[in-house]
Amino acid sequence: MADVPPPFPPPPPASDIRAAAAPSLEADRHHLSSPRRQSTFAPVFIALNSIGRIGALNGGIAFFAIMNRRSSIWVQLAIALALLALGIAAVARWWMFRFQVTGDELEVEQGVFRRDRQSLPLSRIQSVSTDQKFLHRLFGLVQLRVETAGSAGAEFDIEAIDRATADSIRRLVTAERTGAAQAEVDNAPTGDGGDPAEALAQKPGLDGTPVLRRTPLDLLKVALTQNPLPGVIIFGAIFGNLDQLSRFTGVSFDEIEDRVTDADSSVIPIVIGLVVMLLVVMVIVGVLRTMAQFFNLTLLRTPEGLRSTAGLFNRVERGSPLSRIQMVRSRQNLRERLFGQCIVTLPTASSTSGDAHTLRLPGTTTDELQNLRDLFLDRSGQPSAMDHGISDHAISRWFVYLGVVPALIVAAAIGVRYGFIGLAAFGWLIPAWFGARLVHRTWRWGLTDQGIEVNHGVLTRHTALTAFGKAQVVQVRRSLFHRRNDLATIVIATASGRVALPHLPLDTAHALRDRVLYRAETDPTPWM
Amino acid sequence: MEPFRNNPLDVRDLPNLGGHEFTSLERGYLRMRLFTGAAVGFVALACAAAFAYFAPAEVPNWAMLVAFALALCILAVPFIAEPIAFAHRGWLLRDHDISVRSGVISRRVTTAPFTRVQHASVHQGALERAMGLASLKVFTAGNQFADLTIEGLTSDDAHRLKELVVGLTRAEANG
Repeated sequence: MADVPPPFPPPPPASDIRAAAAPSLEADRHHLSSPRRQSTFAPVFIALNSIGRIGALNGGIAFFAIMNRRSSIWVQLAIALALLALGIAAVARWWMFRFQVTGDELEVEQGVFRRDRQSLPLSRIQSVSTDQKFLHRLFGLVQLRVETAGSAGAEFDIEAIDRATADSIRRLVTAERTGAAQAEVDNAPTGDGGDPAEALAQKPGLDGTPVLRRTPLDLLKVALTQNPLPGVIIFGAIFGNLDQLSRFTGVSFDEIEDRVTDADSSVIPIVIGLVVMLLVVMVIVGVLRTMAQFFNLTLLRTPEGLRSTAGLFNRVERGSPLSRIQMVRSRQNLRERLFGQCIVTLPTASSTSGDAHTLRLPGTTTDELQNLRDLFLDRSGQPSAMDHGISDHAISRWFVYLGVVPALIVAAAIGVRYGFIGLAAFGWLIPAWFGARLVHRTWRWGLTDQGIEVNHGVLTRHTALTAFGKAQVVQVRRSLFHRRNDLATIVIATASGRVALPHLPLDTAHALRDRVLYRAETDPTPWM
Repeated sequence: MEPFRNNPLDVRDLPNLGGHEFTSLERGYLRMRLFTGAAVGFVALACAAAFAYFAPAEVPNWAMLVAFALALCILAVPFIAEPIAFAHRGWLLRDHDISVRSGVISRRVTTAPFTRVQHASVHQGALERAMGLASLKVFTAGNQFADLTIEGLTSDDAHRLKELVVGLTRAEANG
């Protein structure tokens, strides 16, 4: 216990860290060579975590039990003791949690009663990410999350440490992964700013080269395209629907007014005003929330891969080695098309489930998307030729599903009640036919020598690009309809997300499967 | 180090999965599926009979007939569907991958390359144990969708196949 260094001095402000010359790996090693504790404020976070585990509801009940004058002194005493125990436990856990880097291993020692000692070779650590919740930011601390390869579950969190220490750990891990000698060379500053395409292609510096950055104006566009309510207003303004809406609401309110003539009629304008105000407030809150969530979104190209940081109150950081990215997906709704943007998601293979490790990049332009794809497939500026479609049989299939079946049901339902007027439902068949043709036409796919790209969607456009080498499993499915028409659907599943191509001619599907398998079986590059 | 080559490939020269015969499952597996299907059917019949016996007098006769017809359908479906599904089910082991065929109405052929296999395991339920059967599960890094299951192997075959798959996976990993 005596050899433990005193608690950390308060962390310098973030600007100072950035202004300081990039510290060398030796300094990082020295910084972490003796066992360290988390920040002195860490017990607060540990205690809050424990309370979170108990649940806010139970916490509230306890609070009221203590505050309630009528509850007996013993109950109050018991709860106060429990809170005290919680605090002591948090301090004890903070005191007993120590970490250091010795040689090439990150050692973590923890546990109050049962000591648990973990040694992780730095080279086995896949990613180090830091999250900064609002409370963390008040203290200038970060939460460090270490993830290793494989499903061994050797992940652990360091609840609250200062950013300098977190950066030291990250730099050491990165250097270990990329080869220390290489890293020292790369430490030379790379050209800042400039062309993002160039930044992607360059060998990045240890602290990363910015690739994308979202200004508040970009984020305003993102917010306007992401939330459903602004969409109503934007398109309402465009198509003059607002006018109709007010007329429509006017009519309905008149009816209400007729029914409540006895009541005070001055209530109606107040209700309308409240509803409008509520809508406006909801829009503003939605826009502000999105802007805060993605505030200052930055994508960095680091030696380990890509890292994104974003957030005004809770700073969230997601990092992934390039090789772990399984595909590049994009989604573009109607409003985003107006602004020339799309949302890009990069699903990554991860031992922990869920999409916690998926990089999400809203407000991405076409050029930026192309840069990301080039980075993923490691090629330069050559978009895939989307020169394949799907079988024409798909049109009749969708026509039956979207047109004939609903028309029959509606016609029957109306016909039973009102007779031949029900036949009018078959008017739906005409738009349904053109709709089916439109959907069919938007399904396009193309091959490059390394991967496959699939696009589809009429109103919201989806694109997905994955490499053959990322395929874990390939499945060819044939329904009754497919068997009658010599068709098949092919699904290529990667370690995170899958790409499906429906209604292909059978021989095309088989050829595609054979090619994917051939590439997956002969490609020596690892899939993660 | 070998010089890097990048020769053009003709798609027609690629190894073709369609040209191979899949191995069918054990006949015992069909018997087992029929047995479980029939058990469910007889439970349904028993329910229909109980309904007919205990139903109050107001319940019309046709309701009981419908109940019996439903129960008979539940009993009959496996005897139609299972033989069709059995004829389609099968597996195929190649040098570099393993494929499974399954499905009755929607038919699926799922293939996993050994370079992507994480591990394999043999499962044996109570009924399978009684009939000397076992099933092999091959896990990849994808989600549950990306796991292959071969049911209806003899117990010996399942263990032998598992060793083979694990061996081939290891061979791929070592280059």
